[in-house]
Amino acid sequence: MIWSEKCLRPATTLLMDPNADSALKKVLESMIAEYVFSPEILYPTTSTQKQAAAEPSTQDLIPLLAPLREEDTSMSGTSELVNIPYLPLLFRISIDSQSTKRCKADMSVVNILFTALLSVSPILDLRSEVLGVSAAGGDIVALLLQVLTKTGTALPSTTLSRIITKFANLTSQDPNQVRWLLIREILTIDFDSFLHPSVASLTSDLFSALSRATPSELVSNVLELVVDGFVKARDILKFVDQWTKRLKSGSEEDVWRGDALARVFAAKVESSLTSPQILKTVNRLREEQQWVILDAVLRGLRREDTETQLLATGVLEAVVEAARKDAAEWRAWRLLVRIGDIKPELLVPAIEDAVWLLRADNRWKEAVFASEVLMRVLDRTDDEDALEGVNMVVDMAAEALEKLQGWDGTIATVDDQNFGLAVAMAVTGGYLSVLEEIDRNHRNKFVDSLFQAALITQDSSASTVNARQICQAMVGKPEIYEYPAVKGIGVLASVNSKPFNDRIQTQYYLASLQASLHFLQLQKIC
Amino acid sequence: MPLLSLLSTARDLYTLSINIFFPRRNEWLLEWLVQRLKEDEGESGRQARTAKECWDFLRELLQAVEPVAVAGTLTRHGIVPLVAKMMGEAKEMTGETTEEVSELLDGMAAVLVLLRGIARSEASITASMRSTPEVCAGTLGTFLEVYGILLGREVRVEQPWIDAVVDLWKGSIWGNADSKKVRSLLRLRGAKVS
Repeated sequence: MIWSEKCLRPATTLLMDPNADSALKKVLESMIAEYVFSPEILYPTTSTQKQAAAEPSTQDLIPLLAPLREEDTSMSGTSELVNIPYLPLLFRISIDSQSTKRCKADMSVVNILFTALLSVSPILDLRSEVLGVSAAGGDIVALLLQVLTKTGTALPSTTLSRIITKFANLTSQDPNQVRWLLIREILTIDFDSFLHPSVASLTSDLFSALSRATPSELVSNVLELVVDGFVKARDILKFVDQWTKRLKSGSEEDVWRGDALARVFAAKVESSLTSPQILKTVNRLREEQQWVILDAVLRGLRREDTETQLLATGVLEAVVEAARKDAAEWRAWRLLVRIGDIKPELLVPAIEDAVWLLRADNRWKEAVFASEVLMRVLDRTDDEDALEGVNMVVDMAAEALEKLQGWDGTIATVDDQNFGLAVAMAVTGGYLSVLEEIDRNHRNKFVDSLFQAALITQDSSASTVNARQICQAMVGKPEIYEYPAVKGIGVLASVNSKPFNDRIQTQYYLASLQASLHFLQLQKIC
Repeated sequence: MPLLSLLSTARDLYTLSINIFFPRRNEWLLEWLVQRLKEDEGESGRQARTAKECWDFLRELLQAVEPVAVAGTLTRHGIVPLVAKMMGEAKEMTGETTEEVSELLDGMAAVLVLLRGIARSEASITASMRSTPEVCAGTLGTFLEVYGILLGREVRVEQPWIDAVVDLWKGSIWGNADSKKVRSLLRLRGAKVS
């Protein structure tokens, strides 16, 4: 008690100072462990009780931590003030003091330590009924929970539930008030705190809060843990149900439609579902026209037998039929591109719809993926309609390149002015071969426009896509030398454009030299 | 008279610049200095305790006097209460100067290190360097605060200062009945866990 009263506060201050002597820090840590978190204090006994029979309690510990106690700001209404950054450090010291090499600290003791440490702040005190609207408070509790993860210890589910109720601000209508860091830590420790069937209202609150959330790395982490939780509970289809429900409302920018969730889900889908389950799910999602989830499911398919079954049972064909008719949804067309990765021939029926979309007014997002569908088909078949369609695509792109503006590279901002860049990116990324196949006039017009656009491009920020970057990427690709027509047109364009960027020319000729050497080597081997 | 104004005379006596017959002169000087440092109150007492020359003189006297006599003086007056008072006063000084505080802590640490050395040949000195846990905890706490202030002003904190104050605290609880009880309980709990 004496040590705590006189030394605890200055000791914790010094422990937080990065410049303090490390040997002194070790001494102070051992003193704190011995005089504040000793077994005698954590297991108080009565005069008639034996030590071995004692239960852990905060009875003696809370008075020892009194020197750290803050003023009761919650009473004055200024609850934002929570300045106790040393709590996680003290929590770590206390847990270490109760752990041995063989045995981690007992959950009941960790609970006592956690409760006692939070008692130093009226805002954080778990025993108080005041809700923790303080942002800093919730984040400090999250840091304490990180200590649990690092030390491999745990808290009882009742305490975790109490923390959620008190600090997470899940039901707040202001997305900035929801403590995602805290939610992430709780999900890491025990996803059942949020996702167990017995806490259905909490699960619902979490999904509602996610619907209101602004997409960020932290929110993506939470989404990943939520998906993980459902995977561990062998119930990923329940997550699909929740996802479907959320997609029926909400905004275009919400997390349910974002790429982050699709990526996370795609990584888990095949390991969590059997092939028949995948088939059934794909069919159901097709009927409900849930293109976002379907896209994520197809994105995650890696097993050959699943793809074979999807093809053999006609499920993918049915998806193409449904998606191509949904002209109002660009995600349906993105899904078609995905199906083209599995079997491009399936997209042949969509050619007519793709051409229709290209001719329609203000359907630029859909037109980008429709263009890709056409290029995918032409790349793998000799379909005449696809060829005509791609001729049209490159013409439209060439016209758009002439009135080019900057583009941030996201599908959400595609319009008549940056459509050309979007197509050029797709061509450079995977369809150089279609340039070789299309009609010469269309090809020349497209490549000329692209190089001209590169010529007049002003230097801009790295986050903006421009024609110069695309040209540099195009001439840097070794495949370009496999396509004589494209290569020739590239040379002409770069030579004719005298003031053209020197770097492109240099890069082009160096790459050309490399390709020639490579070609000679191949000849030699053969 | 303020201790500091008598210090030069005391030094003359110690260095035999004043030629008088004075049996057991150094023992007397040590007793006088420790007592005055401990008991002088007010501004003059504070000035003396926070003057490096007092601590330097004390160290010289400790070296000059037989361990048995040192033990006698320290048993009568103790050294810990003196250090405790000085530490509180040093903390107040940090508002004005950090350089003098550093010198003072240097002087204090040198005295305590020397005493630990003498204690190896005269065991009773170890006992006289103990005090109640309240006093030693207060000294340690105040030292930690001074340490924090010095760090904040980018003043180098020397290891002997830390060792001196931590040793004082350890000395205060060594052999303490409560401390023994704590240790036995630690062993008991450790056995239960493993």
